[in-house]
Amino acid sequence: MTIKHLQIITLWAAALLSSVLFFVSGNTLFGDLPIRTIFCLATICIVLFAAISSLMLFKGSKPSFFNIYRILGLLGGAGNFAVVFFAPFTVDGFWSEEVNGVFFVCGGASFLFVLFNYLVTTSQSLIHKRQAQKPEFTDWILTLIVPALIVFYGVFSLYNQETATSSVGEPDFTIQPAVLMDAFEKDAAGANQKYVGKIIRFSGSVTEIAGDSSILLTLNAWKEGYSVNCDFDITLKEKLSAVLQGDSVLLQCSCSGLSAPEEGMSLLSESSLEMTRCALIENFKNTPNLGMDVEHPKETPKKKRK
Amino acid sequence: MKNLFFWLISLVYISNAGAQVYTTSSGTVKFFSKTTAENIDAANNQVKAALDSKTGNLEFAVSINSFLFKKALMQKHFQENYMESEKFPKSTFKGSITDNAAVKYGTDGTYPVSVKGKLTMHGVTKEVVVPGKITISGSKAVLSGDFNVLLEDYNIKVPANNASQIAKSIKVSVDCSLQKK
Repeated sequence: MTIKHLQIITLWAAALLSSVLFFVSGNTLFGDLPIRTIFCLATICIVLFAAISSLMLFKGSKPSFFNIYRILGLLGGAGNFAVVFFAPFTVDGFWSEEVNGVFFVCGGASFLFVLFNYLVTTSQSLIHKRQAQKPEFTDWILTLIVPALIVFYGVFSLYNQETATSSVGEPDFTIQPAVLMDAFEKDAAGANQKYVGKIIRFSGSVTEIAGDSSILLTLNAWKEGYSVNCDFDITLKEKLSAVLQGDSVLLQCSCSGLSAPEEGMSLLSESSLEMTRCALIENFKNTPNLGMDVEHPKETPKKKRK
Repeated sequence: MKNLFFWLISLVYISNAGAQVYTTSSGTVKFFSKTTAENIDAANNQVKAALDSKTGNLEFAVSINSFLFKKALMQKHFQENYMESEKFPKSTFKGSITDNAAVKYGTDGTYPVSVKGKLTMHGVTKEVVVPGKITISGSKAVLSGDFNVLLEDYNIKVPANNASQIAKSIKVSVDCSLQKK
């Protein structure tokens, strides 16, 4: 392995680690807007540094002593490092969260990789003492504009991604409500982890239709004292207008868990399975047999995509 | 003996005659956080509520995972980081209308009320007093009211870095249309 290969590998490793810092930091201690902006800008700078340097290394060009992309790359690496380096000193219990340790390593490593490349290219420029070949316009497009657009698009779409109004696509599980309720009652924590937020396909007969700001279908749970509450976005009102009380429907919803009566609450005594962002897959119009075994239902987890 | 049995049955019937329970599973609770950096709002349309018109007792149950946000990332942060919905999947309120006698459940109209009770959220229970109103329309009772919740009261921790985006005091709006059982 030559120094050229090592440079390319470390540069792109720095870019990758910086991207990890940015994309994964959303849910963490580093998730606030100013800090994520630093991570974002740092990632752009390091990606540029990696892209232009790789291009020049492949072309065999020698780097010049002063070059803006190298300085920006170094500043990006330093920015990442500064954020993660000071966090353990300013935040109590920093090391108690494993993910913060990962960020610390990512920030530190990306800075070291960038620094290594900066020092190598600087020493090369001093040794050769010649001006690097300036990239042409198409090189700029490939190395500057395209990565910048990709990063900006990624940041923009990630932050502004809208919540889906209904659960479309392949379900995570096809399972009858009664089985789901049993799972929640036997092991609430396990069932929460397994099913909450997942897309469930199930069937049932409509016992009530209500709601003003959204449409709520209540289904028979086939279990005494239980019901299934299925919330639909108001935009689906027209599609649901054909559904009547007593109809058997096949739905696909995001599971919100089982709402069981709390101790000391006497008025709210019924348990219900809460389903949100529902989609109507089929309305069987008073057909009780949906082809899904209600007596002995089986859980069918989604096949893993290859 | 037959007469005694008849009077006992009558007595039980009369004592329960005024007890009417209004319920819903499709009530709405919204919240709104306003800061200079960002405004955040979310709605939950699957709120369970029940009101006993005789005693004025009132109960609410709100599934935290049923709050819907416009932005998916916000919803994820709310459920996982702030409300910790895996640990505390539900928020409840149990209380009563302090001036229940002033509400004429048999007569259509809007009645200002004050509700006092215990709000449990994020595993913390606090006594709250909420001003609101009840609108009676036939067999329906519509409960509505606004109140503010201080996040630190319920041990909801927002990292210092996120303080600019999330208000310390969140406005909660309740709007539930309950049907007589």
